[in-house]
Amino acid sequence: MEDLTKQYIQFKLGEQDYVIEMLYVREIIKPVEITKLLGSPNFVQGVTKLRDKVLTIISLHKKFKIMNLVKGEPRIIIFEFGNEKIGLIVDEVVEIIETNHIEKIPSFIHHGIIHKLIKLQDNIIPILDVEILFSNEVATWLNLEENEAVSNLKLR
Amino acid sequence: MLKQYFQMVPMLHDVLFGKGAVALYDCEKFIEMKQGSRITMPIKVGDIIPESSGAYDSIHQGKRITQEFGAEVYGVAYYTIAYPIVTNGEIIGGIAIAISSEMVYASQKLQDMSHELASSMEQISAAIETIAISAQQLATNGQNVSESSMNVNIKAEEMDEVVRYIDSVACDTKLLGLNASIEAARAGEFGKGFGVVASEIRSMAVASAGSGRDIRKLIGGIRKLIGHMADELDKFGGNTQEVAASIQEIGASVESLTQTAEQLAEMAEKL
Repeated sequence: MEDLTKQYIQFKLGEQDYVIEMLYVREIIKPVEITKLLGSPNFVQGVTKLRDKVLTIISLHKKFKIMNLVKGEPRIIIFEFGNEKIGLIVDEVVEIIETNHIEKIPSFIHHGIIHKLIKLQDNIIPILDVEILFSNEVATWLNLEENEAVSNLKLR
Repeated sequence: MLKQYFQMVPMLHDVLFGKGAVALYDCEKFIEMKQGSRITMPIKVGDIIPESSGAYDSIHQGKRITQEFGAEVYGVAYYTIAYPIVTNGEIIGGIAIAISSEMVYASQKLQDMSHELASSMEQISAAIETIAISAQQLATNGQNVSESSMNVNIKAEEMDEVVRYIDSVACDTKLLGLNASIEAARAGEFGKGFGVVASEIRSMAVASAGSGRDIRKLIGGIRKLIGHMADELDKFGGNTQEVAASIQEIGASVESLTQTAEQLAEMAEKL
């Protein structure tokens, strides 16, 4: 039987905790100066330069109308996306979790971007599905076909 | 002959400040009488001289007779002094006064009392001097404590800076540990060892952050205590000033009391 133990990074968007599979994550950085771009979708904050590469910064707060956490330590979680990197602004990075307790939930809950969650001793945390999250809008805006974007992600 | 002594009666009465009774008598009866404000004798002009009285003895013994009576009779202890009046070797009558004992004792007592007062005043003055010095010392000490607590506050702030630094190091360490774990995962099998190291780094970060919180709590506690101390010192300072003011007032009172005592002593000596 397949061992489903995976590593996840737990973070906060507003008050709510989420996890995302660690293999999608390239790096975590502190907030940086963001250059705004004309004509970008409203959840795209802008771009920034990181070690000679261009990084698109995304804020789910804008997309899903989440309040920023006042007392948090904001970070940017960087996902690699083909040759593009995408940074997601989060309110706090909590810790790394390793577990195999995964459960599926009906997809109509939570904007259709949560399909699974992990079960820990004290709590349940929804898993943010990267594929669905970055498919349509961002991929189009980055001039990539949806399939290409997703398959690039799967190449890990 | 005795008639000439009539004018003596009001004179003697005045000498006693009107407080004593004066009586003039011949060999049988009282012929002139002036009561005192402090002594009222049950005698009026024309009364026969009682045999037990000093007046009687003065006529029959021919000498000055003094008697002392307690307060049971007239409500006030009193003296009587009776003088026989002799003319040409013959006793023709006498003159007597009755005064409250207070007047006799008064002048003796006054001198003693004024001396006691003077020496008490000296003691009080000396005590006040000591208190004033102590109060001064107290104020100085209070000042020192105030300064010390200010210094402690400054140190607490410096400690705060250190804690802030610890916090920032813990923060950066955590980030480093996370990224190290991410790299270790990317390296697959080869990254396992490094993954352990990364884990340890993250634990260190958590521990540092915890220490930072503890220290901050302690500093907070110290600051609160200093705050209380400062409040107490304020009260203390206020009290010390009140004490100093009171001491000054007492000092002034003692001054004027001493002057009064000195005047009293002078008067007592002249009595």
